[in-house]
Amino acid sequence: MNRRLVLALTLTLPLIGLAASWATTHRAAQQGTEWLVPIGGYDPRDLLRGHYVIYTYDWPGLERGSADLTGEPVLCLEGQAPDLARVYLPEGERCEHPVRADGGWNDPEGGLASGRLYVSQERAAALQRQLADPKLQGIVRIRVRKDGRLTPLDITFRPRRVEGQPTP
Amino acid sequence: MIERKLAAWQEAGLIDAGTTASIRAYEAEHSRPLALWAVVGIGALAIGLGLVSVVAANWEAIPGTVRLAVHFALLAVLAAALWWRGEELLSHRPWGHEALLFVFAVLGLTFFGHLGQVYQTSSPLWQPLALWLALFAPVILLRGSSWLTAALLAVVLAYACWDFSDPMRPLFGFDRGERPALVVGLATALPVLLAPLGAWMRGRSTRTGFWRRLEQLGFAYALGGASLIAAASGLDDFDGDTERFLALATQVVQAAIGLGAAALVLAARRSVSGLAAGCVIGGAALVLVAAHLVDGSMLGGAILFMALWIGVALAALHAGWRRIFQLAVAVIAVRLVILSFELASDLLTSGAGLIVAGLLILAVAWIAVRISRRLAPPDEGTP
Repeated sequence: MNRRLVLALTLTLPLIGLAASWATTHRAAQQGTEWLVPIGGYDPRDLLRGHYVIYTYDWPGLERGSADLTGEPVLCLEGQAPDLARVYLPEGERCEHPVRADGGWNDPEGGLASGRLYVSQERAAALQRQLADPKLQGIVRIRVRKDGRLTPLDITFRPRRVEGQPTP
Repeated sequence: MIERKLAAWQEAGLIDAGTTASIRAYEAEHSRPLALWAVVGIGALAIGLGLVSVVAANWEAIPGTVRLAVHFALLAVLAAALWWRGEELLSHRPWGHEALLFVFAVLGLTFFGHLGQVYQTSSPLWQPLALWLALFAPVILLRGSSWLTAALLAVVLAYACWDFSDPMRPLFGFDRGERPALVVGLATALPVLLAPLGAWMRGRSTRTGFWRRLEQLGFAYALGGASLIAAASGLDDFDGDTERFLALATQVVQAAIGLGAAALVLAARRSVSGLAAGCVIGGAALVLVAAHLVDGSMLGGAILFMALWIGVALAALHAGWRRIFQLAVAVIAVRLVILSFELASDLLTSGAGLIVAGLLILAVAWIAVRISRRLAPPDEGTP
């Protein structure tokens, strides 16, 4: 009888653990503020974890673009969410909406320069085409939690403003 | 096929008519309808693949929560089956039980990937692997019965340990190069502890097959790791800006754990085979430290490597592990041939040199085959 009890415990442990992991992930996914960030660049797919798009963030306000971000653990967002006015490196300044480099393998660069969004196969092909289109500007909607953790939600597009040729 | 052989053997006078008839009768009685099984198998495979592709084609159309719920329900059903029918399966169809347990564990592993996909989350791979180990290792250790689940456990453990010590990633706020040697050494040496665990349990459990495999996997991890380090020691002096992986402090920690594991194996299994296994694991641990004395010398690295494998061969000879002995002889022979090329690479540019090198290879191969045949212990024992 004791053996049965131990077996029951070892079999329910994984179920409880996975359910708890699901619950915490689900809860974490509901929290945070959404922002819209312009992006560029792409990489088509991964056979291991379904399909995804890799993009680089075009953070507004950085002088040298994403090159400024190598090794930076924190970036500050400024603006009225979801509209991002500019970003800056904290460097001692007060930071109201921080975004932290996750260090997860999700980010191919291991920093704040790029990210990836998992999408379906057809969607990946369409996004790939649109991201390569110079007339379109990609926008990623991200959710940033209070602790600075970033989750990409979706990618949308708007016509790109070309310099010297004002949009009507 | 068998009919032709039978006729030939009977003709050659190897077997008489009576034996031929009884073999035929036996074969007829025990014949397996292979063709039928094949057709049934192909049918089942087609249905399975069809189901998979129907689900895959509509993957995005199914809401994430529903997918996860189905995944979770499958896990729950498998857990229930393992609880309800486990005892009976384990005694009558151990392979059925093992397969069920394996599928349960693998579905649990994929659940983490599925969560990441639905919620677009990410984390370093070792984190879900470590959580999986915490959740699933108990049931595998309690009910695993063969190499299948033992290998799953060992592979996930080794992968988690290596991903955790990935030199490309900062660890606990430490950048590469200044990561604590103690942590990296502890993590990378952890899988060796499977050897004493298996050695301890194999004499105390009815599932000898499972624990023996676990011990062998720990043994193989120690031997494989030491071989890699010994091979690398001839190429690099492990100084300068090489990652913390190969720093002396890391390897001292690894060697200490290896020696501890060796002592535990010796204590757990007081037999000739246990003694040999403990000695090999201990020797492998010493090689990790000795690699730093080699200091990048090509000859030194080769000697260290061969010394390790000569030790393995002696241990195998002592304990009567036939296959391991033959493997050790083959490994030493290959290393000797490589060494001859390394030491006399300019020989290869002349015709005479090529002839000498060829003769040397033939001599090494001939001696290896002779030793392997003449000295190999007769039985098929393994650690």
